[in-house]
Amino acid sequence: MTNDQTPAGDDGRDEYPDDRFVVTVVVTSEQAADLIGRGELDLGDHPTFAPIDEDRARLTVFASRSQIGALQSEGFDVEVGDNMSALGRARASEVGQGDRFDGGRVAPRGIGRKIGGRGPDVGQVPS
Amino acid sequence: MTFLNVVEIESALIGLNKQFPTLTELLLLPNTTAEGRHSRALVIHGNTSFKCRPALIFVSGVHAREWGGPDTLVNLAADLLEAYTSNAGLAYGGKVFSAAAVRLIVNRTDVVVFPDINPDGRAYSMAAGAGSNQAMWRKNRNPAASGGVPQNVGVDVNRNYDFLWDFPVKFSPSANPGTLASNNPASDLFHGAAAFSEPESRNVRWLVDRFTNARYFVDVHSYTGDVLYPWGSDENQTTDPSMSFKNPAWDGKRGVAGDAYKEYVPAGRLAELQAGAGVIRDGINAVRGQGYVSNQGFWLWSTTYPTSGTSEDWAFTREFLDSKKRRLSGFVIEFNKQTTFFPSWAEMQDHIADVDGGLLALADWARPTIWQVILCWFYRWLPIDREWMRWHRVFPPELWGPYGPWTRAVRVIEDTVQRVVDFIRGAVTSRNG
Repeated sequence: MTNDQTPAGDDGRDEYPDDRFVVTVVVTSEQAADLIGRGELDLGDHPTFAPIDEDRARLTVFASRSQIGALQSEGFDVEVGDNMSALGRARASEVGQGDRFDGGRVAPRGIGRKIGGRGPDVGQVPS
Repeated sequence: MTFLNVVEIESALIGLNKQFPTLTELLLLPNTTAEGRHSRALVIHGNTSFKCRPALIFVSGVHAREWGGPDTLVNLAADLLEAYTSNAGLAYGGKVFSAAAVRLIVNRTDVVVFPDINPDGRAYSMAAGAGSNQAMWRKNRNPAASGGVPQNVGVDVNRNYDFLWDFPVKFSPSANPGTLASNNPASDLFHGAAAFSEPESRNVRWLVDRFTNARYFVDVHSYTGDVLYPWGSDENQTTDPSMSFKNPAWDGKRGVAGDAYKEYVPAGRLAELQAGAGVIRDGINAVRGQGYVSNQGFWLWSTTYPTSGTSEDWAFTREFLDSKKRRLSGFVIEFNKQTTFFPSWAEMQDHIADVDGGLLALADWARPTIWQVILCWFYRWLPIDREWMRWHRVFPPELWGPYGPWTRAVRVIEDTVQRVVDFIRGAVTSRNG
C-alpha cells in the first residue's frame, strides 16, 4: 500500500501506478496453493475460486500492473478486470459528509419494510 | 442516502439510544484507537427482568475497505427498534418476520451491535482521493511497528485475537503462509506485537466478556457470499479432544489438510455450528435468492485457507478454555457475491437487506421459547440445586437447544398462538375504532 501521502484532489487521471485491479488467474490446485502461499498478492478477505473443470479454477486476486506482468511472465492465463482502487476513489463520493444524525439528536431510520403495526407510534414502548 | 462515515456511525447509535432509552443501552468501549477515536456498541433488550435471555453479538467494520458492514448493523438496530415500538412485522425482500417474532426477539434476547470496530481504518479508506490507493486499506492505523514507513502502518485486527496467535510456533511450516498471518508490518495480514495488542480487538474482547450470556457472535465482512464457521486452523474432527489448539504437543503440526492433525470440536457443537450457519445462510437467501453458502472457514475450493487470530475462532475457544463460560458460537458473514469492496449505495441497500435478513433469522432461532421462559422462572425461584438445572446437562442442545426438534415444535405452536392473538386484537381494535 503506497501513495498514501498523495493529497486528495481530482487531477483527471483514471489510473495510478500502484492501483490494484481485479484479476482472475487460471490455476490448478497446486498452483493456487503456491500463489496464495507466496503472500504477495492481495486475496481480498476470503479468496474466490470459480471452477472450470475438475483440475482448474479461476482464482480472483487484486494485483497491480507490475504484479499482473509478473504473473503473465510466469505463464499464467490472466484476465484483468476493473480497477478496484479507482472504483474506491469514485465511491468516496457516496460516503456521507458531516453528520446526518447531528451528534445523536436525530436517529437513523431502517430500510426494512414494516408490516402492519402502528406506524405513527414509532418510539413508544408497547404496553 | 450514502455510506455512513465514522462520525455518523457513532451518532446513529447515540440517536437510537436517545429515541429508545428504555429499550437500549449505549456502551462506550474502553479502548481508544491509535488516532484517538472512541467506539460504541448498542444493546437492544425489551425485557431485562427475563434473566435467561441469550445475547447475540454482531460486530463489523474490522477491515477498513469492507465498507458496508457498519451500515448493515446500524440499519438492523434501527429496523428492530422501529418495528418493535410500532408493533409491526419486518420484511427484507422475501424474508418476513412477523410482529410477534420481532416482539419475542426484542423481549427475550440481548441483540448487541458493535458496527465499527476499526474507525481509524474506515476513515482512512473512505478519504481516498486522486492518486491515492488508500481505499484498499485493510488494517487499522497503528503506527507502532511502521518505523516511519507509511506502508508499514497498521495491524490486521482479524489476526490479532488470541487463537493460535503465535502462528510460526503453532502451525506447520507447510501450512499456507499466505493466509495464516504475517510478522511483516508491510503485510495486509500483519498480526501485531502480541495477541490483543490492538485496542480494536481488546474492545471486542471487552464486549464479549461483558455479556456472560453471549451465545452467538457474528462478524460481518465482505465479500464472497459465504457464511463461515470454526475452525479456521485445520480440518474439524469430533473424536479426539486431545488434538486441540490447547495442546502444545501439537505445536508445529497444524494447518495442513490430510495429515494427522485435525482440530477437535464436540459432535454436538459441530452440529450446532453447522445449523447456526445454515440458519444465517437460509435467512440471507430468503431475501432475494443470492445463493450464499455455508462452509467451515478452513476450506477453500480444493485447497485450504488456514487462519490464526481471527475473531470467530477466538469466540468459539472460550468454552474450551473455561468450562464455566457459556457456549459461544462464532460465525463470519462475507456479504456480496460480486468481486468488490465498494458497491454503489444503491447496491449496498440490497446487501443490507441480505445481511439483516440473515442476522434476524439467527436471532429468531436463538430466542427462547415460552417453555424455556417458564424453566427460567423455576430456575430462579424454586429451591432446587442450580447446578442440577444447568441447561446443557439437563437439556442437551441436540434436543432442546435452539436448533433442536423440541424447540422448533414449541416455537411453531407459540408463533401460531401469537398470530391468533394479534389477529383477534386487530379485529377488536378495528371494530371499536
